[in-house]
Amino acid sequence: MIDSVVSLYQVLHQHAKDRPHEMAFAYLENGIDVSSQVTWKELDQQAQAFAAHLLAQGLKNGDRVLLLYPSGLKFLVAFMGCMYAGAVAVPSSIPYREHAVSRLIGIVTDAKVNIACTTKDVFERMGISSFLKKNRKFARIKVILHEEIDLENASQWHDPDIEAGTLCFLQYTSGSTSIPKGVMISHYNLLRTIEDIRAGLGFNESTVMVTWMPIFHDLGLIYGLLTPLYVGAKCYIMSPLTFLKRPLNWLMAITKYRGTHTAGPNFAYELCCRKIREEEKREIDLSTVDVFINAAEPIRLETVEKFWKSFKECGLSPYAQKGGYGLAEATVKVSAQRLDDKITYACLDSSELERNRIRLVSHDTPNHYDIVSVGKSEIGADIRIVNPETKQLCAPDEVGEIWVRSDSVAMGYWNRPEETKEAFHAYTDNGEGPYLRTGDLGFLLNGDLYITGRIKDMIIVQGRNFYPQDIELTVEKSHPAVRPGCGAAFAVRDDTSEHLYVVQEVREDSPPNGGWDEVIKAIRMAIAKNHGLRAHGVALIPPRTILKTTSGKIRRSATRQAYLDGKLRLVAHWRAPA
Amino acid sequence: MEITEIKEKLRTFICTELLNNPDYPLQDDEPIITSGLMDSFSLAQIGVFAEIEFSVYIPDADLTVDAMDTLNQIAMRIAREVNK
Repeated sequence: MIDSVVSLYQVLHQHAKDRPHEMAFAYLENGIDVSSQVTWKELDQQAQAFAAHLLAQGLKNGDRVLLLYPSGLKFLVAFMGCMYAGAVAVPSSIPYREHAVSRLIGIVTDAKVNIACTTKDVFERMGISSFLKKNRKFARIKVILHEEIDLENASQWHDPDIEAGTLCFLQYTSGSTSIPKGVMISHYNLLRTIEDIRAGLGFNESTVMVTWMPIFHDLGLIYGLLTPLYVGAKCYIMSPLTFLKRPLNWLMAITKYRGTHTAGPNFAYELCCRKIREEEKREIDLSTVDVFINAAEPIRLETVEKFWKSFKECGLSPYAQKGGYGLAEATVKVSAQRLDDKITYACLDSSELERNRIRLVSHDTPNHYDIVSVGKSEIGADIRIVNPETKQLCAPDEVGEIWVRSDSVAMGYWNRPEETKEAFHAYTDNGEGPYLRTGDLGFLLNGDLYITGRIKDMIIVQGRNFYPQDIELTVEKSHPAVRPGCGAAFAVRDDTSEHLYVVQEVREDSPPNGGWDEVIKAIRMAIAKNHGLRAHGVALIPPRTILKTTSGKIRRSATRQAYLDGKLRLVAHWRAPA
Repeated sequence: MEITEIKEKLRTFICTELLNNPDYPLQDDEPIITSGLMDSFSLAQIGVFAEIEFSVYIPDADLTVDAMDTLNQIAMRIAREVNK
């Protein structure tokens, strides 16, 4: 790699000089065939032209630019173009539902975006012009349509004024909808996390990435697109929908393009096991794959084993599946298993684990609990296990909160000094720090990190994070018979995944005209509508019976436990059939 | 219940509630999700609608883009449960 690199765009610029005509990125519209592609030179040139266009619109260094793009090459041009222009990219998902629209409004307001870039198709389909008219405070936002930029013309581009510590982009992946928090990633953070991924997982020029993860998600963006860009590898992109529509597309693209690296959350591997038929497996060749990273939601050993059994006949290497762990606040990666690691796991005594103690037991012990290792850092991250209450370092056999100090820990939350201090500037009781508080629980064993759960009440379903307070707000607005502020949303896991459950107080002991059934239906429909998620259980409880702290906060985990133990007095209860 | 009845109820629900366009001429075999008309998370609403309207539960494993991309597919799947 080039010395004195301070930003990823310089790396791209160099690739364009070293191998101008080699293919860099390709898009697979149907999941199989290349529908469009760019060489290194084309990508470099188009990103420059994009930057020149932004600058001609009066963009100043450090201005935030909203990127509202579908998966594909245009997004990559826009994201890199922002870097070439010295702008701060703010990638966002395309909102389809009300809840997502309020999130987008939250992001636009919080980031004080003045320029939004999108494609013609998205602009028309989402009715963005009428959206902007309806929300008058957005009238100042200038919308640039990607197709209207002259991507051949980079003559007006000039090098931006960037230092390693300059803000590169905002990752809006954390915080509830009402208070979106933009994680500030510097150019240095980005380069260091990519270096961490490269070193551990053996990325090089001959790597072939096949990716379908969402581009606005840290794993999809940085592991899927920017790490191949950094090393000068080839990258084949399909949309998440192309994978969901036909999981076989993912494995067939790997087969066709001899993919070496790819990623998916746990549910993606489950989906492959469930949806791909025996006769289809004959066409699949996974022998080229070095890395199938499993990250972004809790990893299940059952799934890892199932995937191995289902696809070993397709040439899957026993070393290919790897656990990884990270969060947007650490750019993307905290730790991952290495290229030459076989998947490892710890077999623990579950009753000890409930008391936050680590006791290794043999696999034939009843009530054992398996936890897959998420490996280590390659950039010398200082990972500590800390008691979240006392802030004392935990003993080696104790579970505690994972605290991290490393080059990839972000600069903080955009314009949120309080929240930044709380999450990014944590100190242990003996004054060590600053550390990033991840909110996740785990332990270290033989230098490897293991995740056991989380302190935050976040609910993770299919790699999507839901904040309980968002869902509780939806529930309290769903029917007049529910008591506002007196509900709890939480996750319960079964063998393969987590599911959403809701416990909610009603206003009176007697049912409304439509019966309790009507209330439960209204709650379930409202959750589906606002969050695109089905609740697996809804329990209605009498007024003033939900568990709260003395200061009146909902005790979600205590409510969850009481629900699971059957200790709640129920007015009505619905559960998804098994 | 006749499949045509299921289909019409679904069509009305999808056009009115999901597409916010009651006049949309939704075809029986028109891809709803892969065409970008709505996102895959809308399947959650279709699942709950099936429970409320037809009193059937479509398990998560079947509520997927590959199995539920057109009105025909969704209606057939619901009809299978209804007529069990």
